[in-house]
Amino acid sequence: MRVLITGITGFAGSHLAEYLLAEHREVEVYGTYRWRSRRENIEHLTGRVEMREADMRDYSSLHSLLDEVRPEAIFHLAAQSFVPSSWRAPAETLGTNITGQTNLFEAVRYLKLDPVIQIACSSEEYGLVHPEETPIKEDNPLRPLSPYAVSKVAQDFMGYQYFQSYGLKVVRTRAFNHTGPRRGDVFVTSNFAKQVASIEAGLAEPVIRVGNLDAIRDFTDVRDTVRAYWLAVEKGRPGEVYNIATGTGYKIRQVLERLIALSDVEVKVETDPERLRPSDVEILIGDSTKFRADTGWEPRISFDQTLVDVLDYWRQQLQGGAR
Amino acid sequence: MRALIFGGTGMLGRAVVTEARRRDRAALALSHAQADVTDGDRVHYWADAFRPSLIVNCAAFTRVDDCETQEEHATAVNGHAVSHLVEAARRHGARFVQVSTDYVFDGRGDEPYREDDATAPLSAYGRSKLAGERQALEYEASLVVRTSWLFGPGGANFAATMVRLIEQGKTPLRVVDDQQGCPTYTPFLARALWRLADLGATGVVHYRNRGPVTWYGFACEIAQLWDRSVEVLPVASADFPRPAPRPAYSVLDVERYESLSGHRVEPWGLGLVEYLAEHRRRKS
Repeated sequence: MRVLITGITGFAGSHLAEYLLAEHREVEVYGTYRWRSRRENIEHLTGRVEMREADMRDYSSLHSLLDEVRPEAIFHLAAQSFVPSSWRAPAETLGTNITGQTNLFEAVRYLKLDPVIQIACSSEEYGLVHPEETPIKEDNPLRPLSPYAVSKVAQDFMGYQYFQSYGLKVVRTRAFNHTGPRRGDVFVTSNFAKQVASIEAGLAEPVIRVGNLDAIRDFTDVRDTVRAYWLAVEKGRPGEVYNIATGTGYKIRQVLERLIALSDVEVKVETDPERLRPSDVEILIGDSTKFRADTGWEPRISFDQTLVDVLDYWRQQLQGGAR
Repeated sequence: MRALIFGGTGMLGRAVVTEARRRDRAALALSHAQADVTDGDRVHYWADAFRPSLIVNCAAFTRVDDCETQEEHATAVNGHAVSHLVEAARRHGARFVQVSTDYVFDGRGDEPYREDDATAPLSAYGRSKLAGERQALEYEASLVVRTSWLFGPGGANFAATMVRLIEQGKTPLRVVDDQQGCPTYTPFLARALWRLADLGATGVVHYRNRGPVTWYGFACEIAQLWDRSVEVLPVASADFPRPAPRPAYSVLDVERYESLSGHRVEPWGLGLVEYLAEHRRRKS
């Protein structure tokens, strides 16, 4: 079976490639990169995945890629995925995410391929959630609160529309927050862990700068998330949308406290106005009953384990003098 | 036309969805894992989700010899399950296309079989497919297309087996020379199915490719195109006893197809050249 991962050089993409190589030997993994993409997330997989240059915003590069690979499954993870960037450059995020997926779908159609296509949508689509609506089910109203969230709503509905209009086998996954080793340091868990590791290594003052600590998030370990993506392709119903979440919420403050507790250092916590988003979603806890029923998925890695692994990742990175 | 295709990732199913895309039709092609046709609730779920105007059944238990020992299962998949599909088609006012087989005949004749010739299956597979035809024909908007000796990309078939034996050096090839029929290339069959569906044809229609041949003759042509140095030797069926009896003569008469569609059936040799070229390209 040939599979294509768009965005394989990214955080989730690299973990998905790792998972497929380890657990599904029958799968040939192809991935896309842009000429300026950083490759450090998948350096350790060199020679085991087939890398092809393609830009999601460029139809012709996707067309020739798909014509060559003819994948039976596509994991569409390539996206501008950082919410704050979408505030600074909304048109860039909307363009990359929406046009990128349109190009992918149109190339599949034009080439008369019939793969199962998992598209990585997001819990951010729910946006404004009332307390009585949690844990959130798939049929909750979508009230997006950022340009990024709007782009994901568009991808999500486009997936539905291509399923209905053409019979494209699109499975939509709305993953809630996910983290783990290699998470970019602009994301909260990884950012805190990096700050803690930097302080431990004597590379920073013992002060941790934070944004909104009262927000509540449902964190899945990325290794559980990518296993869910595989199950979505293998057992999910095309046309359907699935939440992927643990169902347990943590205040960002608890995340910080646990990370600090995992270390011996004494730190001071300071609020940094730069880290407060223009309109942050207060509470995001997902109900993934539908996904569990259809695929048998359940998270296997505890949140504490995830935090230990993220912190260790940053300790190693800083020891290696990587950043 | 919105087509819902069961058995959509098998050898024929993928040809049917490719042809749908070529014609710019909406087509949802589901695998066995996504939609087991013996599960009536699943079948109805998909019909409700996709609201088809055409349902095509390419799902079948086709391992002819295994059908002899698993006749109950064969009848469930090839026979009884068709009732779920017909029921879904009826509920949605959709046309229904059931793919069937030359194995519904006993093969003792020597003239091409016409649609209304008496059926008399020799094998469990043939009996199960005949049961499926009967389920299908309970519905007035059903079309049953009988075909024979399928080969094409994406599935186990005789041509693929011959190529594999040649590549493994298991030569000379020994192939039976006392069963006659007509090979059929799945992309050609898919095009024929769409033509018939577009015409709104109902009842039974035979379709196969042009040129009766024995398995031995078919193997000679494959060897000629793949590797001329390979020797092919004719043998008798009696030398290769198999659990399921095969019809000795299973040439289907295609006059009804040709007059309905206004197209002659394609020669299988054309399909074979295309198939082997693609096969070679994929290998390299």
